[in-house]
Amino acid sequence: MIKRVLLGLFALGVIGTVAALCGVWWWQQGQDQEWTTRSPAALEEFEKGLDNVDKIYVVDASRHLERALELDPDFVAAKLFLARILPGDWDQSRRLREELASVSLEGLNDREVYLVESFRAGLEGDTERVVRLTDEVLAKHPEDRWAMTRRCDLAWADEDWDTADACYSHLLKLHPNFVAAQNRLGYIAMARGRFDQSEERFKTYRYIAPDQANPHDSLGQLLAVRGRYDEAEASFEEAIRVKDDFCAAYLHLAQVHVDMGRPGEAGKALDRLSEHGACQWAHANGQVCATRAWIAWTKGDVEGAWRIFDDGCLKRRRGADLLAHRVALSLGHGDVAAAIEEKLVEHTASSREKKPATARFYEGVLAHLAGVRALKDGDLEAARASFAEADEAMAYWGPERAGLKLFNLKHLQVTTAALGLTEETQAVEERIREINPALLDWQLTDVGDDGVLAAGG
Amino acid sequence: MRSSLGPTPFLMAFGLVALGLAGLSIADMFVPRPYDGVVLEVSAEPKVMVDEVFPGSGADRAGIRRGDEILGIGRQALRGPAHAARVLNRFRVGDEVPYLVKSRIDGALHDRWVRVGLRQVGDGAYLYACTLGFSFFFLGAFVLVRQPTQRTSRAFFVLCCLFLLFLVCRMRPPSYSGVDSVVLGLGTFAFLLLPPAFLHFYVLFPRPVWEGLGAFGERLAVSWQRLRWAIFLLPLALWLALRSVAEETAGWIAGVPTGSWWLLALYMGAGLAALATTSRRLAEIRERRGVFLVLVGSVLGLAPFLIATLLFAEHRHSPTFFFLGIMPLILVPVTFTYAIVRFQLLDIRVILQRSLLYTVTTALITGLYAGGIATFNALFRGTALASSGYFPFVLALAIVLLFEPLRRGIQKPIDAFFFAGRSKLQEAMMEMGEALTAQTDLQPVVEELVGRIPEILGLRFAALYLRRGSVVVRVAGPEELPDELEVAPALERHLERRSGLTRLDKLGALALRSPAVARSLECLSSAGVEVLGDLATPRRAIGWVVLSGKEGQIPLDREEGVLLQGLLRQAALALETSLLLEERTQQAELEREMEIAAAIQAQLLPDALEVAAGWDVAAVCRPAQIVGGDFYAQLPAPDSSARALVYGDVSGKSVSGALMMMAAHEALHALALTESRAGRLFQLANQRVHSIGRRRFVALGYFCPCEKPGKLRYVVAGQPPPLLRTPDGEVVELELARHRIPIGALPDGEYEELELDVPPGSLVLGYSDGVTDTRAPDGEFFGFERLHEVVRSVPLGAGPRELNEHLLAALDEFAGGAAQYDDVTLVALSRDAASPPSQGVSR
Repeated sequence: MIKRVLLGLFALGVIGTVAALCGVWWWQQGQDQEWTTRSPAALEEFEKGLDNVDKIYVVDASRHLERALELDPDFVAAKLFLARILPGDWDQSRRLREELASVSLEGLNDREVYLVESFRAGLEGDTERVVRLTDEVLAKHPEDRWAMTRRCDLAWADEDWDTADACYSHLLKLHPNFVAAQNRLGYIAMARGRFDQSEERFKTYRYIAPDQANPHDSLGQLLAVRGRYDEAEASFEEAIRVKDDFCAAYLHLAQVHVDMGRPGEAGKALDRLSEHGACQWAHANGQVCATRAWIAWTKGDVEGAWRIFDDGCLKRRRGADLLAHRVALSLGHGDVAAAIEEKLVEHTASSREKKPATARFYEGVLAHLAGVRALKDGDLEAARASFAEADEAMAYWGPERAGLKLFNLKHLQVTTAALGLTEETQAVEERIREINPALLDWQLTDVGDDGVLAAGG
Repeated sequence: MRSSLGPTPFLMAFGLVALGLAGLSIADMFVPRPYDGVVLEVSAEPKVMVDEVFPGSGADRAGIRRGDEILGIGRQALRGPAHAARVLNRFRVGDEVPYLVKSRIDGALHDRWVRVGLRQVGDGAYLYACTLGFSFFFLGAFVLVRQPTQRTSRAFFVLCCLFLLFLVCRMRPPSYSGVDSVVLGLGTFAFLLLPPAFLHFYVLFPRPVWEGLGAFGERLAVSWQRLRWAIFLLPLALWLALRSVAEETAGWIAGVPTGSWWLLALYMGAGLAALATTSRRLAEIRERRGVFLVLVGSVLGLAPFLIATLLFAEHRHSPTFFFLGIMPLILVPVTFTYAIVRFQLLDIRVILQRSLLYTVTTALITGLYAGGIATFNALFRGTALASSGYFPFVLALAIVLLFEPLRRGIQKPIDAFFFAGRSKLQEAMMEMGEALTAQTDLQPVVEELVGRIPEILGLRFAALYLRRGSVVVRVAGPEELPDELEVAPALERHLERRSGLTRLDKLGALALRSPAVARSLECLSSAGVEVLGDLATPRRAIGWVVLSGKEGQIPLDREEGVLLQGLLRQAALALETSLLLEERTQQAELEREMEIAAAIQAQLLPDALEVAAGWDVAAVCRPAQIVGGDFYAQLPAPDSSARALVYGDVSGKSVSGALMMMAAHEALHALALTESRAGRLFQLANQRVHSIGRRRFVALGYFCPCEKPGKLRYVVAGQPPPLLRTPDGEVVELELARHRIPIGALPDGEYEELELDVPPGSLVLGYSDGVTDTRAPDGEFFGFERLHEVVRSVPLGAGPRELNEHLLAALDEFAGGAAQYDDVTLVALSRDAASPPSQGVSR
C-alpha cells in the first residue's frame, strides 16, 4: 500500500514538474514574443514591412503593414509603424493616429507599450516625455534596439551631431548590421565635413545591404557633393536598378547630370521618374519642377526657369526656393524675391526653438539670399560678407544642404575674386578643391566677370 | 621514490600538457574550416587587420594585402576576429564570399570577392618554428628522463616546454578562429614565463653560479632565493602594465609589448653572463668544454633573435628577418645535444646506435653517388661516351668499387668522433678480460675485479662475494658492505635468467615475494649498491659482484651492461679455475695427511697376533677410505698365559671415524692395564667413550682363549654375531648376551662375557658389519647368508689366515670393484686339532 502511495506521489511529482516546465516555457514564449498579434500571417507581413522600413522602401513597407492590419486589425505595432511612415496629412495616417491615441495598452509587451506611448508623446510634441520614456526603457533593457534608435533619432532630429554620433556608434557596436544607423552616421559625418568617414559609412551600408536602393542613393549623394559625378551617377543608377520606384534616386541623378553640365540627361532622368506613379509625391512637393528650373537656369535660360516657378512650382515649394529668389531678382520681380525671404524668415523663426540647427541653416540661406541681392545691387563687399556669413551658418548635412553650402562657397569665391582679394580667394578655392574640385571650373551663368548678378534673361 | 623524484612527475605532466596543446594547435590547423588565407595582426584587436596573406589564397587573389583592414565578411559588419570567424564558418569551402576591405594604400573601402579554401598549415617559417619548438621539447624531455632528480634538468625541461609553447603557439599565423585567440594567449603566457625560466636555468647550470664564490656567493644565493618569485613575476607584471597603457598596436612586436621583449633580452643577457661566469670556474676540462659550447650556441642562437626582433621589428615579414632572427635559434638545442653526446653534459651519457649512423652515412654516400651520376650525365650528355653502351656499365662498376671504401673512409672518422669513449671502454674491458683469464691465483683475480671495474666504469666501488654453501661471503670490497649474505633461491634463479646482471631497483617485486631477498637487498641498498652481478659457470655458482652507481648518479647504459656481463662471465671462469686450483691443493694436502694418518693407524694394528697356546689367530682390517674406523688389537687377558683380542668398528667414517677409532683404541689399552676382565673393561670403556660425546659409539668384539683349555671367552658389544665353523663344516652363529649395545651409546652399560667350547679344528670368525654391508655394483648387500655360505665353503683344515683370505676374495668378487662405504675387519681364530676337547658355551 505504502509502495503504491509513494509511486503515485512520484508520478504526480513528475507530471507536476513537466507541467511547470511547460508553463515556464509557454510564459517565456509569451515574454519573448517581440510583437503582439494573434495572427502569424500578420506577424510575417509586419516583419516584411519592418524590413522595408529599414530599407526606406516606403511604398512597400506601407503595403506590407496594411496587409498585416487586414489580417489582424488589432495589431497595434503595425498601426504604429504605418502611422510613422505615412505622410502626416493623409487621411489614413490621421485615422491611425487617432486610433493609437486611444488604443488599449493591455496585453502589449514592454517594447510596444513604450513605442505607443512615445509615439503619443511625439504627437503631442512632448519631447521631454519621449526622452523620459526612452530612458526608462533603456534602464530596463539597455540594449533595446528600438529605444536606443529612438534616443539616437531624437538627437538626430535636433541636429545634435555629437550626441547622435555617439549614440548611433554605440548602437552599431551592439547591432553592427543595423544599416539605418550606418546611414545616419554617414550623414552625420557628412554634416561635419568628414567626407571620407561618411564615404566609409555609406560604403559599409552598401556592403551590408547591397539589395537596398537607399545605400546606393546615399553614397551617390556624397559622391555628388565630392564632385565624383561619374561614380555618383553609377551609384544612383544602381539604386534605380535595385528598385526602380526609388524616386529620390531619379531626382539626385538629374541633379548630378545638371552638375555635369548634361541638362538633357537630367531631363531624361526626371522623365523616368515621372513614369512611376509611386513618385507622384516628388511632383507634388515641387522637387521635380524645381529641378527642371535648375536645368533651365544652368542652360542660361533664366526666363524659362522663372516660367517654371511662376507656373505653380514655387507654390508647391511652399513659397520658398533659392533659385526662384535668384531668377526673380534677375528678372526684376523684387516682390517675389522679398516674399521668399519673408517665408524663410518665418521658417527660421518657427524652427528656432525646437530645431535650432535648422534655424541656423535657414539663417545661412537668408544670408545667401542677401548676398545674391547685394550682387544684384553691385555691392560686392556686402555680398562677400553675406556669403561668408552664410558659409558660417550652413552645414553639409544632406545633399541639398551640402550642395547649397558649396553653391554659396562658389559665390564667395567669385565675389572675393571680383574684389581682388587674392589670398582670401585662394583660401576659398582651396576649401572647394578639398571637397569638390569640379566646382572650381563650374560657372555661375548669371554672374558676370565683375561679380554682379546679370539682369534679365 | 616520490621524494627522490620531487616535482619531476608534475613537470612531466606539465610537459605532456604543453606537448598536447602544441599538438592540438597544429592539428586544429588541419580542421577543414573555410579559410581566406589571411593572417591577422593579433595586437590590433578588435580591429580585423591583415598582417599577412598566404600567396595564392582566396584573399591574395582578391587583392587583399598586408595592412588592409577587413570591415565586413559575408555582408556582415565585423565586431572583431571572433565575429569574423563565426561569419566565415557559415560558408563552405569554395564559396565566393563578399568582403569589405579598407585598403592600407588609399584608405578607401573596397568590396572584394574572396573564394574561401582550406586553411594552410602555415608557411615555411612557421613549420620551422614548430620543428624548433619540438626539438626543444624532446631535448628537454630526454634530459629530464635521464636525470629526473637533478634540479638543473628540471629547470631545463621547463625552459624547453616554454620554448615549445612560444614557438608553436605564439608564432602560429593567427586567423579569425577562437582557437587562435586561445593558442596565441597561451603562447603569450609562455613568452612571459620564458625570461625567468631562462635566467633560472642558466643560473643553476651546470651548477649554481654562486658556488665557489665564497661569502659573496652565499649572499648571492640568499638574494636569489629571496628575489626568485619577484624575478618570475616581473615579466607578467610589466606585460600587464604595458598592456594597460599601450595604445592599440603601437609599441608591440608580434602581439607582445616591446618593453616585454627588452625584459626578455635583459634576462637572457643576465643568464648568459651567469653561464659565462660559471664556465670559467669549472675544474673538469670535459665539463668546461661542454659548457663553453653551450654558451657559444646560446649567444649565437639568441643574440640574432633578439637583435632582429628588437631593432628590426618592422622587417619581421621579410625572409631576411626570418633567416637572421629565427633560424639561428636552432643553435641552442643543437649545441646542447652535441654537448650531451660529446661531453656528457648534465651527467648524461648517450650511446649512439652505430646502425643509425651507418644508415645515415650510407644514405649520405648514396646521395653523393646520385649527385655524381647526375653530374656525370650532365657533363657527358650528348657525347659519344654517354651514348656508349659501356658507359652505364663502367659507371655502375665504378660505384660498386668505390662505394665501400668511401663508406669506410667516412665511417671511420665518424666512429672515432662519436664512439671514442665506447671504444676505450671496450678496449679496457678486453684488457681486463685477458688479465683475468691469465691469472690462476685467486687473489689477483679478486683484486682485478674489485679494483679495475670501478676505475673503468667510473663507479664508486665494487665488491666480491664468494659462495660458501647457502651464503655468499665478502672477500673484497668496502667494509661498509655486509660480510655475509644469504643466497635466496628465488634471487639465484632470477640472476640466472637475467644472465647474471641486474639492477637492485628491478628486484622490488622479487623482494616482496621473498623475505630473504628483501633482507639481502636492504643490506646492499643501504650500502649504496645499485647493481648485482652473478658469477657462475655451467658447473658451479661462484659468487656475486656488487657494484655501486656511477659518480654523478649516472646509470650504467645498455652497452656498458653488455660489456660488463661478458666481463663477469670471463671473471667467473677465472675464479672457478682459481678456486679449483686452490681446492685441489687443499685436497692434495688433506690426502697426504690422510695417508699419514692411515700409516699411523696401520701402525696401531699389531703386526703379529698370539692369543694362547694351541690357538691360531689371524686378523685383517681393510678401511673403505684412506683412514678407517675399524681396528683390532691385543689386550692383556686375565690369564697371564694368554692375550685377548678385540676388534672394533667406530661409527663414522674417514677422519672422524679414524679419530674415534684412535680414541677407542687408546681407551681400551689404557683401561686394560688395570682391568683385564672383559665385562668390566667394556663397562669402563663405555663410560669413557660416552664421555667424548657427539653421539659417537664403538662396536666391539672380544675374544680371549684363556683360563680353560679349549674355551673361548667372548663379548660382543654392537658387533655382528661371530661365526663358528665346526670341523664337520657346519657354520653356526655364536650365542649373544642379552645386552650387547655398542660402547658409548648409553651412559651406563653392562656387558656379559660368554664362554664357548671350541672343538679342535674349528674356526671362529669375528667380523665387522662392513662384511655383510659390502655392496655389489647393483647395490645388493653381501648379507649373512652369503657370509655363512662362504665360511662354510672354506676347505676343511684351513687356518684363520686362509679363512680371512677366502672371505676377502669372496667379498672382492661380490663387490665387483664397486666403491664401498664401510671398513671391513675380520678376526679369525682356530684351535689346533691336537688340543683337548671342550664343552658348549658357559657364562
